[in-house]
Amino acid sequence: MTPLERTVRTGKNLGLRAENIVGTALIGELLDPGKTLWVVSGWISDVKVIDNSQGAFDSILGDDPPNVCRLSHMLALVAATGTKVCVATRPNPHNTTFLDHISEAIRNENRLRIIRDPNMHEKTLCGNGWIMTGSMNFTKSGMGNNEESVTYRTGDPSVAQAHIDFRARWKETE
Amino acid sequence: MNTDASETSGSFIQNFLTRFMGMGNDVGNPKLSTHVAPFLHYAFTRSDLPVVLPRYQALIDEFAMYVIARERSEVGATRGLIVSFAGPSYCVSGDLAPALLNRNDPVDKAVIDFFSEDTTFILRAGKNREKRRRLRESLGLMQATMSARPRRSWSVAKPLGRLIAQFDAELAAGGEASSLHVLQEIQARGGMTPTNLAHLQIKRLDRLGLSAQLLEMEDLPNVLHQNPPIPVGEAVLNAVRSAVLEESLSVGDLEAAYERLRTLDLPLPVKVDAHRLGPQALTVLLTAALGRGDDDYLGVLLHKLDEQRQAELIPATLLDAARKRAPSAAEATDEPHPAESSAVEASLRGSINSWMGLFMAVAKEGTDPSAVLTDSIWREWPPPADSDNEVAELLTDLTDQEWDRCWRLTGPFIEADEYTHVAPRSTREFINYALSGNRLAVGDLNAVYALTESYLRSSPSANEYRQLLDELRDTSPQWVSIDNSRIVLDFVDRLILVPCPDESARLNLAIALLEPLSRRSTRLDPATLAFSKQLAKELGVPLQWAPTESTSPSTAEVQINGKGEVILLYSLDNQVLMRVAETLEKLAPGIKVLMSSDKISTTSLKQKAQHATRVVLATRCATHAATGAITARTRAKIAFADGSGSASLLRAAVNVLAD
Repeated sequence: MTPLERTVRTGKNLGLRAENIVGTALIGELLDPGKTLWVVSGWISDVKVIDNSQGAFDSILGDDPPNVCRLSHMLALVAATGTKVCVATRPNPHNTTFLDHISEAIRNENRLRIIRDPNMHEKTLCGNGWIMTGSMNFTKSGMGNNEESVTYRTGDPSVAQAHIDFRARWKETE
Repeated sequence: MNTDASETSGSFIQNFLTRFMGMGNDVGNPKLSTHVAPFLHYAFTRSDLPVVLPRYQALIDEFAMYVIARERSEVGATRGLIVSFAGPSYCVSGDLAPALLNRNDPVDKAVIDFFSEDTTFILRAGKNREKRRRLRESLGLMQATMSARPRRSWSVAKPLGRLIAQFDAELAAGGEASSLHVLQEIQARGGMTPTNLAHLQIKRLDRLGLSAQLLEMEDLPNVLHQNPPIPVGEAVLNAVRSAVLEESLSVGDLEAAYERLRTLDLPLPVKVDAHRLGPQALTVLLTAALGRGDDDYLGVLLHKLDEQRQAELIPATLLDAARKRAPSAAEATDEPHPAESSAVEASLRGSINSWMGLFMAVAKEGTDPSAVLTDSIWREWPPPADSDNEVAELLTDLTDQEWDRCWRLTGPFIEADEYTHVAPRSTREFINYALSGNRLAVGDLNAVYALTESYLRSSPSANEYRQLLDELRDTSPQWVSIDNSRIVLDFVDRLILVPCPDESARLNLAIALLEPLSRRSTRLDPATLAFSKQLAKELGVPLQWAPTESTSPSTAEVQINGKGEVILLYSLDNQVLMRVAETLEKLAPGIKVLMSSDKISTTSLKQKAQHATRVVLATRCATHAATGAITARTRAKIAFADGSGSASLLRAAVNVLAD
C-alpha cells in the first residue's frame, strides 16, 4: 500500500471540525475491520462523529440507524465485526460518561478493553492500516472549537509501530 | 526503594495475603503455621525483598513456593537469588523463568491483581517431602540473608549495548535458556523499542527452529509492516518454509503449497532483495513468484540460486517448475533493492566489508556496529580465519575501552567459526580479554566456553595449551560454583575430548574446576553428580564425592527404562554427541539414542525426528534449515541445551527424559 499522509488544522477560525475526519476514519474501519482498534486519549467524551440526519449512512449503521451517531455507538459497531476495541484514557471523572456508554454498548469482554493510565498524554486513534494522531482530545472542545492539528496516515510503518508500542505499553494492566 | 514498615504492613499487602492464603491454598492448616509465619513476616515488614510464600493444595498433594519480584526490573536479580539459594539443587522446576500464571486459579489471580503477570517464579520440589522441606528452608535462608544485608539498590541496570552483545553471544554459543533470560532482562530494563524487542525474539525463535511459535507471535504482522531488516524477514520466511510449506513441497504438490501461502494471513516480504537469503527463504519466494506468475522475479531468483550454487537445496519439483516457467534466468539480473534504512547505514555498509574493517571501525573509530550486526552483512564476508593474523594483531593492541566496544562482536565472531573456520590467534585474543576483563559473569560463560572450544580445536602447541589452561585455572575461583556446574563440567569434558599435549596443566585445571563441585556435591542433582564422578575418574582426579542418595534407580531411569523411549540428540559437535550418547546409555540402558549433526534438512534427519519420542537440541552454529526440519517433523517433546558442551546437552536430555 502506498503511504499517504495528510495534516489538517481544525478550529473555529478555520471553519474545520475534526469530527468528520474521525467519523470517516471509523466508517473505513467498519468496512475493512482489523484485529484491534486503539482509542488513546487523556480525555474522551461521547462526541457526535457522524451526522446521519439525511439517512446517508443508514445502510452501514445497523438495524436501527440513529440520526446522530456518537463515538461509543460507532465503536460498538466496529467491535461487532470482531475487532477488539482498546480504550486508553486517564482515570478522570470527565471520562466516566463515555466509559459507561461504551461498556454498555460492548458487552462482550473479549471485544473491549479499558485502560486507565494516569500518565498518558497521547491522542491517537489507530485502526487497520491507518492512524490519526495529533493534539486533539476526543472531546467536544477538542473536536469542535479548539484549534488543533491532526495528522492522518495510511499504509505507513508508523501504524504497525503504534500497534506494537501500545500493546507493549499496556501489556500487563487489567 | 521503599522500606517504610508502615506502608508494607498496610492494607495492600494485607489484602493480598488474605487472597493468597485463601481459597486454593491449604497452608492455613495450624500444623503448618510455624513454617508459614516467617514468610508472612518478611512480606509484611520488608518491601525491599521479593515476596516469598508457600502454597499447598491438599487434594492433589502439590506444594510450591511462590517468589514474587515486586517490580519487573527486579526479575533478573530475583532469578539470581533463587539460583544461588535453591535451584537447581532443590527445585525440579520453576527456577529459570517467571511462571505463566493462570487467571482462573484463585491464588494466581491474586498475584496478577496485586503484582504483575510476569514477575512470579513458582518453584516446585516434586512429591518428596524431604526435598520440599529443603526448598522451603533454602528460601527461608534467602529471606533471612537478604534482610540482614545493607540496604542498597540491587537492580543496577547493565548498559543496553552490553545486554544485546550478551544476547548475541548466548545465541551464537547455543545458550537457549540463557538467551531467554537476557531477553527478559532487556525487556525489564527498558530502553529498547517494542519493535526491536520483537526482532530479537524472532531471531531467537528462528535459531531454535521454533517456526510455529514464531508465526504465532501476535505482533508479527505489525513487525512485517515496518520493513524489518533482512535477517528478520528471512527468519519469518524460514519459519514459513518449515511450518507452512514443508508438507506440500515434500510431496511435490506446488498448487497446495501456493494455496497455503496465499491463505496465510501475513504480509510476507515475498519480493525482496534475494542476494543474502538462504535456500529456505528462497524456496518461499520461488513458490510465491510461481504462484502469482511473476516470471521476471522468478528469473531473478533462479539467477541468484545458480550464482550462489544453492539450486540443489531447493525442492526439485519446485525448481523444475520455476525453470520451465522462466527459462531465461541466466540473463536476469535486475532485482528490487530494498530501501536503505538511512544514509549513515548505507555508507557504513559500503565502507566496512571485512572482519578486519569491522574491528578497525568499531575499535579505533568508535563506530556503532548495529547496522552491520542488524543486517548480518558479515555472513557475506570471508570468515575471520582468512585474516586471522591481521585481526589478531589489531586485537592485541586494543585498550580496555576499545575492547569493551569490540566485545559486542563476540556473538557474530563465534558464529562465523561454524565449527570449521577456526581463527586461533584472534580467538585467543578474545579469551585473553574475557579472562583479564572479568567477562566471567553467568551470561558470559557460554561465550567463553565456545571460544575455548574453538581455540582448543586448532591444536595449539604444548606451550600455548598450558598457557590457556593456566589462565583459566587462575580465574576459576571467580566463576566455578555449584550454580554454574553445567558450564564448569562443559569445560572439564572439553579437556577430555581434545588432545592433551601437557598432562600436568590439564590435571591442575581439572582439580581447580572439580574440587569446588566435590566439596558441595550434595547439592548436585544425581545425573550431574554421576557425570562429575565420571569426568574425575577419566581425568585421574582423586576427589571425595557425596554418595549416591540411594541404590535404587534414579528418577530418569525409573521413568525411562522399559518404555521404549527414543531420544534424538542434535549438535554440530560430533564429540559431544558421542559422549552424551554413551553416558545416557549407561544412565538408562532401556532407551535408544539417535544422533544427528546434519547442517541442513536431510532425509536422515527428518526420519530420525519422526521416530524420536524425545528430542534435545544444541543450537550453537545450527541453522534453521536443520532445527526447523526437526521441530516441524517431530511430535516428540523437545528440549534445548543451554550451552554447547556435553554437560549442557546431557542435562537437557535427562530433564526431558524425566519429564
